[in-house]
Amino acid sequence: MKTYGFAVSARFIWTLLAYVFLLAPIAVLIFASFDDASFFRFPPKAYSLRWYEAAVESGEYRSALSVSLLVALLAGFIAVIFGAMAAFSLVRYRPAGGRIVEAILMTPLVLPLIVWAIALLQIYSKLGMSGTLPALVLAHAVITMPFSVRIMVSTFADLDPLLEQAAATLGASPGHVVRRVTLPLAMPGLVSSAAFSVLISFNDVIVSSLIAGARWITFPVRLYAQLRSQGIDPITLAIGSAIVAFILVAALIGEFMFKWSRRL
Amino acid sequence: MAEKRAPDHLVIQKVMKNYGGSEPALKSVSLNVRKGEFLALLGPSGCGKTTLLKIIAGLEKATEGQMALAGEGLDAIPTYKRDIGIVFQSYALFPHMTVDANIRFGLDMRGIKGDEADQRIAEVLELVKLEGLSGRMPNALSGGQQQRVALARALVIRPKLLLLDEPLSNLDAVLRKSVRVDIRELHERIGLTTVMVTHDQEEAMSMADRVAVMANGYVLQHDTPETIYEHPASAFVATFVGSPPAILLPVEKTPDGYGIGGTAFMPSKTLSVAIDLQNGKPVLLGLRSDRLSFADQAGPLTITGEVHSSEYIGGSWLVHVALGEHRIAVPTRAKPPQFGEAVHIRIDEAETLLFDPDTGAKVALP
Repeated sequence: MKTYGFAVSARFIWTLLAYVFLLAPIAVLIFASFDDASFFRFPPKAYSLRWYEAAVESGEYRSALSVSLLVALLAGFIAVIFGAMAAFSLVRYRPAGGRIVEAILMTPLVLPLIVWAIALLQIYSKLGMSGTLPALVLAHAVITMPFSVRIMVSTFADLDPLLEQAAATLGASPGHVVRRVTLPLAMPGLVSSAAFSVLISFNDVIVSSLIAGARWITFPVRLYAQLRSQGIDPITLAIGSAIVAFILVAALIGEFMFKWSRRL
Repeated sequence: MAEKRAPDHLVIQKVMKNYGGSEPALKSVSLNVRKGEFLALLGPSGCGKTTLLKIIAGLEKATEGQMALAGEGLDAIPTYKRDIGIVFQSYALFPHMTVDANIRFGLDMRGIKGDEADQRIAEVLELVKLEGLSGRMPNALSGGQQQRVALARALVIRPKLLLLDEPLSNLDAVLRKSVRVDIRELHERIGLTTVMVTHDQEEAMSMADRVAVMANGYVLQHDTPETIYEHPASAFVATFVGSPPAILLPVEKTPDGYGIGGTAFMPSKTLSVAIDLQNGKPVLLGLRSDRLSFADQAGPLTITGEVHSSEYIGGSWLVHVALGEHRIAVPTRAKPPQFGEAVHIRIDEAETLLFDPDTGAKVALP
């Protein structure tokens, strides 16, 4: 059939375009990171690991990376704990107005973050916590919360409350029920939301650049500042490629172990 | 029988449960279960039987009322300290644990470890005939096997009481009958006081020592299966219990006697007195078709009707007789009468049931 053939080829071209747009920049990034030149050019002409060596030695980037990591881990921790608790009560107790609460928890996904961050900055300065680590971590916890809430809502919706009741009839105190039944069954969801929270926090530029003070500069903010003042530093390409490789591996593991693509 | 004299093990007094709706799910239920007894809570869905089971297990809180198990008040005891084993309809096996770990769970919670735990698990696996499957995960088991794991998990803690929530409803028809016998045999072997919830009257009647028939949040009758079948306390019980269940026919007074659906009904002296005592109000006559037969001619304790159809059911016939707009099936071993023929159905006074059509209450014979 003619129309059928057209539909198939249209879909093929569409898919191809999607992959090209998605993956081409990443390919450029990875190739360029191995280039021997001291500026960003494409395609590369000579290959070396000099920028990877420079990245390892650079104190500036190392500190930016560790700030990013610290913020991401702390924010992820908060988002997972509170997101899981919110999701549990939303699913299990179906409180009046629960849907409104869920919608509010989801707003960071659709909010213009820059406006929100500017307002938050005002609040922080009134509270005297501008530029502090807790200020940055809390802001990140809020923007990562939608992901952990969403993942944990679907996790808990799949968890049959009868299993917890069965455990109780077998003699498990509420603490034992959580440790032996609820947590083990929710673990894939918890790991997935932790991973997503860390990634979202790690990727954020807008909120971090507005909230972070001079002491707490995250990696994307450092990169952006560098870009604005001196153009692209090949060190960032090396670090960027390493991060992409790391995330790719993590995503593959997550997909195989926890079926991440089906949790969002 | 010695069993009938057994002391009360579980006592439920005026238990009421209101989920907040206009009508309570349970309206003042009082029951007692004797030690070693198998009680079935029988009723249609929504009658409150599962709610009662959950209240006994402590998974729901009664709005009012008291319960005691083995002489000890239950109301202040949380679920995990009640020592009540329960097998859920969906089995609720822990999907992240092997069969062995599922069964071991309750022992762990009691601090029973090592050889004693192993021995008890081996015992209970043998009891439910699941030896050799202890390393499997629940999702690698058939429905019948999963149910036996759930039973083993509940039994291994040596509970004071075993609760079964619709234990057969997730099994296929063939398995259902054999599991019915298995559970009954198991009960006779270990003598554990058991409360089973079911909507299937055949299950309740065949498995239980006593049956509590429930509807609309009430217990309508609590007695042995025989008594419930022979002497149902109300029209609802009569039509819910028995296969076939009783058929209710309204008896009206006619100028020349009594009738059902415009056909002639000749009651016995006793029956006519009982009907007359209702002061002209119609009365419901409850009949079970397996207790009916044909009479050669009209006389006391006969109803006259017209043959509507008949079916051969192997060895005998079931003749459907029309009594006005009502139908009643009469079994016969003889060749059935032809369509349209007038026939006389004989009823047995001793097995005749009379009910008040408004309240459904039993009308006593004088």
